[in-house]
Amino acid sequence: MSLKEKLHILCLLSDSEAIEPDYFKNFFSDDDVIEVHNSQDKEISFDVLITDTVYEGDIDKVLYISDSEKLSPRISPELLGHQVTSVTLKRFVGLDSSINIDSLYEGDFKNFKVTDPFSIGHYQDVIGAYLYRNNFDYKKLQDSYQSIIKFILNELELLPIEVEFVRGEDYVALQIHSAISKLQKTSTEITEFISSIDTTIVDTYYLKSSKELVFNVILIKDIVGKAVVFNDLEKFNSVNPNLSFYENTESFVKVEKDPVKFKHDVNTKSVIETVRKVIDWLKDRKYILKDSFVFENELEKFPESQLVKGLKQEDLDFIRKVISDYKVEEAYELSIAGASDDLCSDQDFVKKLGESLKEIELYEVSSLFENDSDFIQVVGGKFDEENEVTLVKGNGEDNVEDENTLVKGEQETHDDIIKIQSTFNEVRNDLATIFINSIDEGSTDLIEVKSQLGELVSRKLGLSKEQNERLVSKIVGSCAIEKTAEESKSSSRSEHFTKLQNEKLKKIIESKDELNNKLKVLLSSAKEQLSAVRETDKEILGSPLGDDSSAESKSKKLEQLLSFKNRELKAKTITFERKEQVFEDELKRRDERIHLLERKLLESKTEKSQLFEEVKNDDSQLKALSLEKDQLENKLAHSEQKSIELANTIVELKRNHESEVEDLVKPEILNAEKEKNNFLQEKIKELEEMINSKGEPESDAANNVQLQKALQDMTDSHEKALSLEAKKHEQKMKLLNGKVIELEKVISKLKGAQGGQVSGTKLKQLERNLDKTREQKDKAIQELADKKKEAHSYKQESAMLQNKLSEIEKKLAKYEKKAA
Amino acid sequence: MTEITFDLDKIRSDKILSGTLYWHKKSGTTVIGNCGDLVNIDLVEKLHSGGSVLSLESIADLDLINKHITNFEKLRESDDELSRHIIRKEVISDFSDIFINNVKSGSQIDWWQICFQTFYDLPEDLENKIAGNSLIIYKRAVAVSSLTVLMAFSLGYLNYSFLKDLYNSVFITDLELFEESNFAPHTFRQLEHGRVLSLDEGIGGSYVSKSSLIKANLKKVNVENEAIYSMIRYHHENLATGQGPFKIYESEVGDLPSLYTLVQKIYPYTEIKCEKDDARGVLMSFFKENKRYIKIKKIFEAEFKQAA
Repeated sequence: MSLKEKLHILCLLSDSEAIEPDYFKNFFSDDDVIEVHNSQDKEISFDVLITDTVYEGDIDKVLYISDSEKLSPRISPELLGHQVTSVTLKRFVGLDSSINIDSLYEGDFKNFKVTDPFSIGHYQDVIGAYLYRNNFDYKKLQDSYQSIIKFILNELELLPIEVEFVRGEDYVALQIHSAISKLQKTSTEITEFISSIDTTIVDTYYLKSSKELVFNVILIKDIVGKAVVFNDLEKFNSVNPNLSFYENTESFVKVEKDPVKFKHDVNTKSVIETVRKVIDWLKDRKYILKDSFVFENELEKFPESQLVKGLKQEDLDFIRKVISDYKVEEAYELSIAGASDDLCSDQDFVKKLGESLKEIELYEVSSLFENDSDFIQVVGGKFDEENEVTLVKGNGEDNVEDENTLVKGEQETHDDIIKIQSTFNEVRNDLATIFINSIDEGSTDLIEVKSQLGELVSRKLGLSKEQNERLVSKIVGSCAIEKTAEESKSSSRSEHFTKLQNEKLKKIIESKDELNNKLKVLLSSAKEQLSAVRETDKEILGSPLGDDSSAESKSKKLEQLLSFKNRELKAKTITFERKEQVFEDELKRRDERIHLLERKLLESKTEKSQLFEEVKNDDSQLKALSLEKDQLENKLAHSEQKSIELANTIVELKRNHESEVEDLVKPEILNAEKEKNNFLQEKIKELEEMINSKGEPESDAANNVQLQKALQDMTDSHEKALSLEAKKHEQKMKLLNGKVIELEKVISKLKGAQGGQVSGTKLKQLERNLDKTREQKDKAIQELADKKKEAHSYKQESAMLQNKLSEIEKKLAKYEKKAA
Repeated sequence: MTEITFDLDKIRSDKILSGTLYWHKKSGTTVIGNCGDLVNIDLVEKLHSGGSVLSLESIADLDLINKHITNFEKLRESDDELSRHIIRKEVISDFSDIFINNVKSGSQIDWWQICFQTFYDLPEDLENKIAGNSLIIYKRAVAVSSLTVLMAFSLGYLNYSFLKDLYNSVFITDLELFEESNFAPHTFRQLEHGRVLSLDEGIGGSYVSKSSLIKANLKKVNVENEAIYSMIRYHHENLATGQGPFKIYESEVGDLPSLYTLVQKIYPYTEIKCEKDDARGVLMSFFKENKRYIKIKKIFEAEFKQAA
């Protein structure tokens, strides 16, 4: 269904006062795509039928405008015209809508998500507190919320759930929705479920395009009618139908529980007492104003306006009745009087009276006067006398400079009242104390106590006799009411006034009677219709075919009968077809169920066999694993052995190495060399001395030759020994290096074989050992280098010495020549 | 506040880099990983054991990361909604000050680390499949999953397991595209075009035809949730014009798909370059540029508008 095409709505409504005949024509007049028809037309195939009686025909989409619980989807005629209903109506017939309720309804928007199965109650409380604060019937919506969430969570098994609500002036629209790719419930099941929800409108739809199941629960104040709608919708086509709305709102806030001070049974007491206060106030006003008394005006003037606001409509109705109907007033007075008589049965009723006196408000006294200034003059004056405090008041002529100077006027009077308030409270409390003290505690005579109270009050406040009586009766009434309220805290407020509400009940019964009468009339008319139909039937059937009637008329009658029967047959066929359809549906559903069950069974079977296989697999895996484990264990043992071997090798290596180093550092060699050097040096010195002395060259020369030879021999052999030593060291180093490399190879092999895991610690230890060997090797190399250096220096030294020696030899030769 | 360190164990456990990873060679310094990248741990370990000098120049705020990882741990343990609300406030106040209110400096990598360390739980084969196909897509998945989860948490999705499912599901969103071929450059171009303007009919069509795989893919990360399924299904929708693969409008979906398409619009299909302070005002500037997503925008603004 595209929106470009026109939507044809057929509207078949019986004449009734509830709905205007052209209501829907007017309602949809703004929408170009909608055409509303009031009669059947064979040319047009209708998309939607709106009717108020049972329909069994071809049009798929039917909306009943009715209060009958048997029909659905339905909207109560009472709801038509409310802005909230129009959203439902438009969406139902197929106009564009939105899942974002913030764009459909105007008001305070809030939202939250249920993402945890154990947070449902939390949000139920949040909603409840919020609605309670805003004076809505929180219980109904809490219940609706709970049952829908339960349905989504338990029946459809969906989570998370989105919850949003908009609070308008007289309604709350709560939307709960969740994505569901396949709706397992039939529309009948869903309709059955939503019919059980107790609220004004339950508007539910499944949006096929985005697969969202949406529940709208709307509570409208002071409306009794209901609407129950479930609908399959194809899709919505807009982004946001009402964009401008967003620009003005600041109320998109996450829901957190409102701080609410909830009073439960406290109300039973205070409400009745409030009702009494209001009634007494209004009675005073009526007495003073006489004919110019207007109920609403005076109610508005009641000083504690917040008390009046807290009253329910039925309380206000009751007050109105007491004030306007003298019979009700009489009943009310009587019930108060009755309660007052019961008062004296109480042991400490004097004390209670005193307490009530203490709670008498200023306005309860001031209302006894025609205007506040009189009250201030009379009572305020009394205060002055009593407390010897001079209140500045009057016309101000004598006290021009005083800022508190009062010039008569309302505002000033008001200020004066405020000023007088604290004084009044003091006086009132004093009065109460005096009253309690002055009367015997055990006193049970109400009349006696009342007169004493009256005397005291009149003396202290200076009221007239009439005013005095009114005030005393107020005090006693208040006391009596509080006592009865206290005695039956658990019972509801209405019970306290049961006696007094007879009138109200009577009215209700009367109205019910009226309804009954209407129903009776309807019933009898229906009966009449029925009998009329039967009559015609009989007439047609029963009229004799022969005699006075002509053949023509006979055939006419027969035709009539035929068409009548035809119609009947058609209707029956349709009913039958419908039933068949339902039956088929049911069958289909059952088949599906069976299929589903079978599939599930099969699934579980395969699962089972899979499980078996898995178990088998597990077994073989287990075997493989144990084999692997054994192998690993072998490997471990092997590697352990290897590491022991390695450790041994390392120890050996170390030992070898140490011995080498020790060899290198052997002090004897060094000492020997040093000695040799010393010796050579000595020899050179000797030779030099010889040269210097120049004496006895021949013998010296011979000596020298010998010496030279000896020297030569010595240095030569020494050199040889040194180089040999160095070579030996180098070779050893090479060997050592080779061994280290070998060791590394073994270790890396081991590592590879064991995945570096099995004997990691051992390997680490080996590695550490290797590192140590490496260090030692380095040290040895260093030492070798040192030794080499030393050897080199010795070599150099010996070369130098040899040079010197050859020089000396040359010198010696010269001397020999000279000598020769 | 860049911090230069090299802690192999931390890099191994973090998996994604908190900054640029350098390799200091004799011939010069080479970058072997950027901030936010999935670290090539084999390479790093090899270099490290070979005695190479590596350094990580981190731009992450470790205190912030640890604070909120702890918060999410508390969320996992909490069993009543009230305490979840309290944790939400803690996390969201930092998140919104940085991303929305633009009053606090902060980097995206911090939040990627918080979410990654908290929620990431992909089976190895899936991780290899995504990272093996395209590291760019993997990095983008890190970014998109984190922001989606954080915004969902802000919107009131408070259950820890749900958030975890959400994170991993978003992470594997583009998995259906990997079934046949590697992520080719032209696929990137098509997706990027789809992000900025509108999705090519061909690729849109393949999304529709492959959407049947979504449920199976989600099962691979152990997710069976209708809401998440619907969210993944519609993630390339153009909710403003109804011209996406499934032709869905904003008025037809709940907050999750709406939110997810929003996040998808934020991150381009190119390599994301992380910089210090790059998270600041990200959402606010997106909200300002974008005329759509009014509901989500308003919800955020109403709760977090402190700076404005």
